[in-house]
Amino acid sequence: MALRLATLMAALALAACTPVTFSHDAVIDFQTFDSVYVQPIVVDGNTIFDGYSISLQQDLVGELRDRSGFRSVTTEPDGRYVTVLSVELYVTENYDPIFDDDDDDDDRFTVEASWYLRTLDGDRIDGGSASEDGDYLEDTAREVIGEIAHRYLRAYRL
Amino acid sequence: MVRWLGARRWVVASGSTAVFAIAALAAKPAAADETAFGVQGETMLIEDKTVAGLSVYGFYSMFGLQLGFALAWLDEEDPRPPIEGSFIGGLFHVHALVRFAVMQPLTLRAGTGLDAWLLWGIDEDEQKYAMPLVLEARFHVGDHLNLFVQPRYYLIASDGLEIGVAPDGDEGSPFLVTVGVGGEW
Repeated sequence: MALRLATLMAALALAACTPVTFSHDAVIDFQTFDSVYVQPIVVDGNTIFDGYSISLQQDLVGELRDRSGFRSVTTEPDGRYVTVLSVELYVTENYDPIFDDDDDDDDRFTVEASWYLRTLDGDRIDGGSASEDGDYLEDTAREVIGEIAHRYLRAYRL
Repeated sequence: MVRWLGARRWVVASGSTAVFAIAALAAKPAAADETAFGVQGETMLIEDKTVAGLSVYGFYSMFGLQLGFALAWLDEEDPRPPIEGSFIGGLFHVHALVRFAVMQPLTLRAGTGLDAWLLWGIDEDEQKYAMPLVLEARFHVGDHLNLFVQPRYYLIASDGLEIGVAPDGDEGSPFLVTVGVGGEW
């Protein structure tokens, strides 16, 4: 009896190979909108972030080149692109004057992003917002930048 | 972005659940004071992909919890972005289960939980989630060793997680079947 059950289980298992597909549909038509100019990122908020705008813009360009469906991603406003990506970040340093001491290690940061993808005529193609909390400003900002790049992930079907 | 499966699949899921429920009602609950802990190696039987990993579980009487992690690869490398290779990512699962002793040496289990497909091989932020209906037949070979077959059916799944559909659109079984070997104490 036991042997029969084991044989039946094995037979059922071997007969049951299932196809599985992982897929993603791109949020925009990358055939039509195949290139993007990433504007310098506007950073505002209640803390100090000197130089972050340029480094975050470079981060976003790198991420889009690696992960997105855009054939061309540039920071040069030379007109050789069909879309423009504008990103604004608002950084909040969360500091409790009663419970936190002067040590900056106690601080947490909230980075909120909003972005718009437009044609050269200014027509909106796509946009969105994202928010992350974290202990380190740079890492938290990069997580938000990663979310923007993930939004434009190239289509796949595996 | 979550997709509820269509009516046809609900009929399949309801039917298989009913069959399992009848079998479970005919069976005996596991002894009330019987605790069990186990670890198991497992693989999913998927066309053109390999998914293999480990799970641990614990039961008190009829009720238990299982945690598992598996890694997933394409059987053949795909040079096209975004994967550029064969590694797809990982599958983390947590399932709440009930078990029934049907007859020596067979135990049935059923449950539900969360399957999280973390597709790092495709993109670092790419994830798909599903709520499975899990049914399982476990065959106890000796005092500690057992073999199992576990079909699972996704009641809810993220967009882009298609069970029973090949990349070229061909359709197959909607059940994901896991087989494995475990040790239980």
